[in-house]
Amino acid sequence: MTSQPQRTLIGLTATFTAQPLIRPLLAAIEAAGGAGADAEVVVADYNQVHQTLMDPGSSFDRPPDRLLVMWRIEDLFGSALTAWLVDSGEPTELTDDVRQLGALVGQVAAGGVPVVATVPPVPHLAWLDPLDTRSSIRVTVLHGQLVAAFLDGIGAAPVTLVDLCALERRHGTERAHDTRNDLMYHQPFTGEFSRALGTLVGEALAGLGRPVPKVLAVDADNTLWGGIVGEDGAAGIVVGDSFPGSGFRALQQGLAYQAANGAVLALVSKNNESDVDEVFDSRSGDMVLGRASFAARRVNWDSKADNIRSIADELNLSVDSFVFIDDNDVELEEVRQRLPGVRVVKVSDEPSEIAELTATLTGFRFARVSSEDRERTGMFQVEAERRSAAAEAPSHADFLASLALTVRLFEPTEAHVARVAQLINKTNQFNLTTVRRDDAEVAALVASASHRVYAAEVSDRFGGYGLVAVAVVECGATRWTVDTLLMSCRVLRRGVEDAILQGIAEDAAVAGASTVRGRYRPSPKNGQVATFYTDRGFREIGEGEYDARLPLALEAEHVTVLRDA
Amino acid sequence: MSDRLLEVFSVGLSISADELHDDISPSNTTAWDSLAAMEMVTLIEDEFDVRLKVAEIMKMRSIGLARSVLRGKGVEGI
Repeated sequence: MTSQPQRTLIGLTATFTAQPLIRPLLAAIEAAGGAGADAEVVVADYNQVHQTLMDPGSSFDRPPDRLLVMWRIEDLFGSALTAWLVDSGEPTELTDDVRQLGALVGQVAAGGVPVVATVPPVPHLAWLDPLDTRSSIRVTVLHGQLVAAFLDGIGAAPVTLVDLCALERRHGTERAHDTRNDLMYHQPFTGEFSRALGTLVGEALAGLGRPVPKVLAVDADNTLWGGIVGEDGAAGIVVGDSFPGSGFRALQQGLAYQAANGAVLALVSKNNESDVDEVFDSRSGDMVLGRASFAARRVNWDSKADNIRSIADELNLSVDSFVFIDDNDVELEEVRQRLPGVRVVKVSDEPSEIAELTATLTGFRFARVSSEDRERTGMFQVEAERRSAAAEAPSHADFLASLALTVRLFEPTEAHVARVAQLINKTNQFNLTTVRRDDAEVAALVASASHRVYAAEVSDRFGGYGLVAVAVVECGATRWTVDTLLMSCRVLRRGVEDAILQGIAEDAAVAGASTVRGRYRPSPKNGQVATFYTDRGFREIGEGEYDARLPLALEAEHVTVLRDA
Repeated sequence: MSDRLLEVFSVGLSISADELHDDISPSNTTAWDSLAAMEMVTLIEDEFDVRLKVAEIMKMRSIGLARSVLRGKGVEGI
């Protein structure tokens, strides 16, 4: 008899009866496909949230692979909430309790289980007129304080948040809350809201560890502005505060918002470059975006599919991470056919739809933002300057020497887990084994005594690249095995990879090991590192396994390596 | 023509509609537990576009009794 592989166990713990969420939740996960599509949901005993968080394994048949935490303010503080409303005063005890709850949630996430937690709804009290201004203001303020305390408690732990409160606001509180169900079953929601909430939470669970879009490639005419600059002139195109240009201005605002939160903007327009530049110059007061908003641009008469591919090459990104936004069906269709990995989004001619276009890009919905993301557009622009330095320098070696490259190699802590996992899940090309790991698995490796996780921050005279390389090493007594070695393509061909491997080898020698083993697992995208180990003098000892005797001597002279004491 | 009420109970109890009839009740069907009862209230309300009072829910102690409650509320064709 063969044993069945275990299905992904999603543990659900809530301060209310959550069973009606299961069906839509599983349907959403199945619709999203991919790993975990065979998930099962087990609900912990009702209102045992704290107990579950202190010992996740105890509430389910076996330790859950994912944990979903849902809570309501009125469930945690029934009478204390009423007392606070009636007596007034500072809600210090409530905020302290909620901060502690957040800390427990964060602790589970940091300890090895991917966690999705919901932001609680504004408390609903059956006996209170929701439009009674005296109390509604107090309740609104309290809700904000408690949400802030919850987030504060979670801190930097890798928790994915789902805003139940925002969903309820959008849905309409009256259509979301059911007092009869709340009284009878302690199940506070209507059937339709349970379905909406279950679906949203299911999408968040399905998205755990999945890459989010990175590049928004946008057309100019009838996308960033109304009209055609080549025909209407910079003065004649429509964009600004007044209708209908206000719709295009809103679209630009949405793009600027995504850029501020980690997306990279690229301009892809069939135009004369001077016409587009004239818009950026003469209409800057009406526009949100300017030249500097775009990390790359192709304003020419070439095919947009070719232009997108060339931008992908320039940014060292896969086209699979692109969203293409254009009003022209022919352009959209060409990209759809020739670059099937690119998501295409059509700009309609209806102003309200134009204004709301970026709100429909739900691929960003559950992304957690790291500080590197926010600076990414800036880093790509500095990259363009680096490239021009490469063009001027007489040789590649001279160029590398001129970069004043510094690599800080260190063992990441909890605070780095999110960024490390993000790199592990999105790096395709310079990735020796393409082993994907979620936040919880990374956190477990960081804490593991038998493994060492390395991270590298890279900078040069043009600026910092941030944390761009990761290695995971199994530390055996006589042999250290590099299980994961990956690097953002933004720092390719600069010797950073040699500095990292050398650092690992030195640590291995200090620990008493005699051999370093490397692994290579081919993927459709990592052909560029197929000979990585043999190029560095490693001997192939089996399929995709390479050994080198210690010590190694790889370090490139032009790289300054900093190690933490 | 299929019986809409049996179809609803089939979903709520995860039992084939062929095996259901009006005498099915919590006392002879282990799947009809308190959680299934809660879920079936929502399913019935959605399917027949009615709102049930607590007293009506309490009366639905079998599929047949659920049928008569719904008929009493003016639901036709069941």
